[in-house]
Amino acid sequence: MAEKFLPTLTAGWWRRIPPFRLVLGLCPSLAVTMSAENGMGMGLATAFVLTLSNLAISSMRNVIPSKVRIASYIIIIATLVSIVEILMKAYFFPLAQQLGIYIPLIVVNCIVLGRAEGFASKNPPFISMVDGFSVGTGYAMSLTLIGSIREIFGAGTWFGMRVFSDSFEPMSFLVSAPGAFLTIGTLLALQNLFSRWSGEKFIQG
Amino acid sequence: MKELKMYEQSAGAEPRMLNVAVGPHYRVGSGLAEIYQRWVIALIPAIAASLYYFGSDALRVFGLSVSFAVAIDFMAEKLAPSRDLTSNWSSVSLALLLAFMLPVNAPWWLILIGCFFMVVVGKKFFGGVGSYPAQPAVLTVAMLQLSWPHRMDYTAALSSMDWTTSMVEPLRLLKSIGASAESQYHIWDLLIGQQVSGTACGMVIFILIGGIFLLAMREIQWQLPAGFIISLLATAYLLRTLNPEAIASPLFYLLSGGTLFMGFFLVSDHTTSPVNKVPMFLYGMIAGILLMLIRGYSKHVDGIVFAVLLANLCSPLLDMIKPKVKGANNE
Repeated sequence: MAEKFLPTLTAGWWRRIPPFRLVLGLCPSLAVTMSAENGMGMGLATAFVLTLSNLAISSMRNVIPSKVRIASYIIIIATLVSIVEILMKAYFFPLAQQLGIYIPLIVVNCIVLGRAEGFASKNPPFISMVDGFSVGTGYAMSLTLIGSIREIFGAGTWFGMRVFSDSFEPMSFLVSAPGAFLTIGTLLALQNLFSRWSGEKFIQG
Repeated sequence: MKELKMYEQSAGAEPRMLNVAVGPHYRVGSGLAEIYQRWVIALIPAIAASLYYFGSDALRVFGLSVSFAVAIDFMAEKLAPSRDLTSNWSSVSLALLLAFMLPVNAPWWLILIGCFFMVVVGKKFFGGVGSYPAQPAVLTVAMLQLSWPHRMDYTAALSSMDWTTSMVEPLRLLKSIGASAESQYHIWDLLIGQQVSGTACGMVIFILIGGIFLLAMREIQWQLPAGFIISLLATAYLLRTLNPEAIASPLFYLLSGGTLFMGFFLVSDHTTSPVNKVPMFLYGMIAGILLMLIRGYSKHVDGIVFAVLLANLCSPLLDMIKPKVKGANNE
């Protein structure tokens, strides 16, 4: 347990970071990363759901029959997502308005189901929770990074603050839909290039 | 080309060995560098005409884009080595094609971002020459037009010029006042490039000279531009009979904007065009029909960029049309 703690905690921040290494959860990262604030909100909501769903599924892994496990996971995840949605509507209403349909859609986010199936169903509760926390915060960091790049160069602001002087002409291509594909692809290429320089073995998943 | 050199006998070899190799046994001896040098030579008439009309402004656009593209290509090759080298001249040819479509007053940062996008995203990300799915220069112009539409405005760029012709893009005027715009332009002016367009993509007759050079050097096959021009004229004729108020004559479409530039230099790019003769003709036809449909029915003024990109995407499908292999079981 103790020797697995640190590798599991850091895996989600580089070695297994979604959506670059674990190429899952692309839908929200393409759709809601128009600004850094949206990306961060979406990432934190997913991290919350992922941590608690991993904990719940791992605690119940011995009582869920394997034939109906996917349906059971979906019910657990849907419950947690409903909690998140209601909480966000109560306390962060403008952000919930901007994210819109993508908060309920966390239910079908592949990362949540993927970690449940791939990690939580085989490991004890605490380490599963650490894994969920690590992958979730890694996802939140990625979405914030993608959102920051798109917002800074596409609109000239960062979390709503102006970064450049008035003479800067924003590259509006980046805040449109193709800009999201371009940003994600470029970051993925840069990460692989960095791994190649440092001689790291390429690990998927 | 290292692997081709093994057929050559070195001068000082003592025992003269016989070469035993599988065919084909002849070679032309040219490499990628020579191919792209020919493309650059074919672009020279239009560059000269542009320098004559616009002077140092055009020289600035050409010089900046070529130097930025080559420098970025060189640095990208240092950071992430691939088999795509700066010495194969492809970045020079692509940078010139990009500069042709930029407005004369393009600021330096626009050219820098354009060259970076063209070399890194358009070319290197897909594996360099021979691998990219869409023409990088055209991809770049599409990106620049979406990001900074007011910077890519040809009419505003040339507002200080003093020509006798109408100082509006021919196709823009056509779109706003209908087919009567045709009478504002003289065919001869359009032909010698006295029309509002990019830095050099509207120099019709000079583009044609370069295209004929490419055809004569067997650098591009005649099927491709022929299919393009035939289908463009036919589609324009058809659309004109359907809607004579909005659509001008076929010849006007052929001579205005970057039509011939697209037919000879953009759709005929070696990497993105199909391999065989019949698919090449069909590919040219698709490009021509798409161009006329965009010009006739969409809000884009000069549709060359999107017509080229859409035609590029058809190219892998057209490559499925293959000649039958003699002696093989072709089902």
